[in-house]
Amino acid sequence: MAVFGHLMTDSNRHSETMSVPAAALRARVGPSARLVVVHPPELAQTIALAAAEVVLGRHPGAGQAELGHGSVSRTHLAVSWDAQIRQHVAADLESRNGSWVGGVALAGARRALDDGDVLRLGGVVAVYERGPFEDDAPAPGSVLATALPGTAAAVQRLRKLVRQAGADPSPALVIGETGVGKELLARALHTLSGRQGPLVAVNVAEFSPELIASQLFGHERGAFTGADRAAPGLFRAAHHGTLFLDEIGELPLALQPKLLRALQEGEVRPVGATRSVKVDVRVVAATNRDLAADVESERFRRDLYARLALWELRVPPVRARRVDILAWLAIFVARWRESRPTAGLRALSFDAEAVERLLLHAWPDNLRGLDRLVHRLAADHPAPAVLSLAAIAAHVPAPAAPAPATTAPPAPAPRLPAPTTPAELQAALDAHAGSVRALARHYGRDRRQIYRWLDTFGLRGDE
Amino acid sequence: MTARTESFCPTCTASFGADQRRCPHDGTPLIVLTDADPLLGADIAGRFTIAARLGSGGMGSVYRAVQHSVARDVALKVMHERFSQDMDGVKRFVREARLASRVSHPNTVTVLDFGQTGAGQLYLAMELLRGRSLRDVLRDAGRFPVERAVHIAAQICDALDAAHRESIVHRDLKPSNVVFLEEPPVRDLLKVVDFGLAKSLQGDETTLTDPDAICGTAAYMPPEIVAGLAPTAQSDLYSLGVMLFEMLAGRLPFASPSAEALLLMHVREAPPALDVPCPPALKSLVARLLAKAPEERPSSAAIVREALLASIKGWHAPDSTPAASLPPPDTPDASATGDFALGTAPTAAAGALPSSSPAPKWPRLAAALGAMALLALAGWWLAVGGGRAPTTSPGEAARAGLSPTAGAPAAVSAPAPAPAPPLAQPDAEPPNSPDAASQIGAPAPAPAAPAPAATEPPAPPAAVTLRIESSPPAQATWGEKRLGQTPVDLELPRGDQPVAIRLTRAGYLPETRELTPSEDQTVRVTLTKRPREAPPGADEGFILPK
Repeated sequence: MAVFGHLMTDSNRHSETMSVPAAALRARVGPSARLVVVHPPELAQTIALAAAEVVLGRHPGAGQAELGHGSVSRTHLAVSWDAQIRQHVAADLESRNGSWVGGVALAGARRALDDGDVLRLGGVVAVYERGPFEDDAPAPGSVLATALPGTAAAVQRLRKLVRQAGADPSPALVIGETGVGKELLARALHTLSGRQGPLVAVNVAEFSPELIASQLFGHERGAFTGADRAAPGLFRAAHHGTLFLDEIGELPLALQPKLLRALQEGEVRPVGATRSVKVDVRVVAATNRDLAADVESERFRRDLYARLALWELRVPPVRARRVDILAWLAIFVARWRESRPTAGLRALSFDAEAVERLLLHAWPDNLRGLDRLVHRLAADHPAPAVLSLAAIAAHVPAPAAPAPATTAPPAPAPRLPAPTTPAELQAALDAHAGSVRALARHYGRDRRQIYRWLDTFGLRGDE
Repeated sequence: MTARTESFCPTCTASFGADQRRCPHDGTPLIVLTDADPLLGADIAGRFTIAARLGSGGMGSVYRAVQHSVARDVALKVMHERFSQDMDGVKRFVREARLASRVSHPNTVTVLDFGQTGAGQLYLAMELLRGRSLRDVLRDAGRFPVERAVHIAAQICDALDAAHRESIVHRDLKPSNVVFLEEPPVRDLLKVVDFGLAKSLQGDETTLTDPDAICGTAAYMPPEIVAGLAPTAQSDLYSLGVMLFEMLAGRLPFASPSAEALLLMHVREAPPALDVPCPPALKSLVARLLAKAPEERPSSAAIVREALLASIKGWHAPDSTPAASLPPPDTPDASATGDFALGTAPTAAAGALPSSSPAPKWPRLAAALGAMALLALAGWWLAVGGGRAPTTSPGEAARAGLSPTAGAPAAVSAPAPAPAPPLAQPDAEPPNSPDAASQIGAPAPAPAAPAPAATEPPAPPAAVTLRIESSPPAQATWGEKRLGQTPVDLELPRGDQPVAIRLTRAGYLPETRELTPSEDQTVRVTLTKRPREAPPGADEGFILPK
């Protein structure tokens, strides 16, 4: 405590710059993570992980995580915290049926766990997630339970943000890959806002650049050839409601000041009109592009981005919420059955290896991809059955590059000194073919650290 | 700067004058203590002459110096010698100084030069600020009304955004690193000081030879820094959130007598709710800024700024804004704070900074500056010393060789009373350093103040906004200064000198408009297409070679 001596005698509220040894402090900060058991369904549970070692098994002993499944050994797998690399590490305890991380057998090796890693212990499948956690469960049937179901940590965090954003009329920007349900989220925001007006949804990319101004802001009669009567425009159509602008990144640069003005002043001026009209509209925009990069390349106005993104809602892709993949498949089966009351298929069930494959798949089309899989499997398997890996392999190919052979973290890559110049980092990045994962191994750091460096130096790496 | 020298007996602990060599009581050789500074009057790299020491701290000292080439006062930080022996530290310092010199924004301090003294010490020359730190202003006020807090935070966002765009993270943002300019052209114009530079020497988590050290300020420390991750732009936003909370609530979100406990609170404990009347959108913004995970905070300072300004739109305080917490407004339209600080303040500020000329153009400003003791940006600098009072408090100011009046709240108010200027100069400079005063070579401010406050007309708003729109949008420039793409708002001090704004766009003829900043106005310009040299019918998409 000596290092804090001068601060403790001082009542000035710790407003002095200082430099303190941190090892003891860090040891007390500790990790926040969990293992979510997703298969078999009857074993579903959440195992909290902290700094203390947790042993998973059929009879692992008092205070440990019990997995009552025939394929699990008495003591099967241990997860412990490695303070040096600041990661949890999984080690197989000479189990009879083996342990896998990311589809790769652990054998005798230990392996550091990354957020979202898929673990398999014999016939039990679990997902490793890092905190922080917002343990909430939306009321069944509520707006959020429909628009944003799931228990994945990333979904919990988003749900918390959406609850806050719903009440606030400020513009929101929904950012997410194709097929993650951005419009669904916009509808949820509209419902949560309690706004009386309608939700007007438009896809900016669908308009021709010539027409978009008059579509959005309206036009006067005779404003242009063919404008034989005045049109109010979508902004005014959404008065007292919400205007959802999908693919906002496609808005032509020339029109961006006009949208900015509408957001800032709350008024629009129809094409050909001499005065502006007040509108009360909450704008929710969505994009699947990296709009921040568009800002840097001056394809999107920085001020408009800042004004649109007062709430930034990043919808995680399916591969960032693996915990929920099976639940989503069940949802799509239920929807599929709704229109086919006589169908034989009631539910899809999988064996452990099939579940592991489903969870490890990258799902580039996200929820749409899961929906498509349900339709295909329903066609292949009209009668209920437990689907094995072989049964789904045709639809769900193995990940392109399986994780490399496990290396034991007790001998982690030496921590190279951090790069001090953008050029240095760029050179290292080039040397690793732009792979952040490889670069993380090279420097002996977490991938997130590499991303921070890239951000700091304004560089970009591949996933 | 008074150099005091005394001798001290290690045996009987008595103190004596500087001339004693042995203790008259026990004959022990005395230890000589002196605070004489060998750098006073020194020439630095042939470019600066050090005039006075403004303060010192754990990393070095801050001086007022005269830059020879333009005969202006600058603030010169000279680092302790030990830093120049750390090769990596020097490299980091040079890298950060170079980055910092690229940031040019009215809400940041301009880095003018950096290098090494003859003795090998690192130095950094910056514009000299005169003002009070946010820490002092906030301590006097208790807390701020919502609009003022938002207005201040929005400017900090502007400074952060400018720095973050140059990949500079502040890493130690706190009220003592925010300085209110004296006599700003608009109320509460402030500057964020000390971007990353001090830390470049101390190192941080990723670069320090000892990776197990936390650098920063406990009360404003982002959780991820405590946990051992590298600072990002989002780390600065967390510290901003703490400051915003503090400005609104009049207290810190986390407090503990033990620094260690305080650091852990940043990591573990949910911030308390803001229990003061303020717009719901502002409350939720503070909560987002204080999110434990950096990814959950807004992704840029520009977004925070927009969210701040949007949050108070149409909101009115229930009734009682603590009047005592407001300094006397120096502009009648002080209520217009929410709309201030668009990307336009540059011009307004540049004219007001005293660093550009030894003979200020604004008499009113000169009088006020004279009346104020010099308060450089030394506040943060001294703070490293450990357990000491803030620089800008009267006590510390005196220790740094400044007048005790330096930190007096009156310093924020507008024109000084008439008798003040003649007193000011001796007040500002310690009486026994006449050489320092003469080295400035600047005319004494007092005679330069022909316009006493009494004769001033009841002031119209000090600043006007010129809005420039064009069809189609075009790049607007004012002299060398790029204003960005139209529509742009240009905020200027009221005056009758026209400014020429030039609009350019590829494929269009440039247009220039002379605008007189006598009142708020909007100018719309329609650009004419540049006549094509290519024959009609040539493919529109190409420019034909001549």
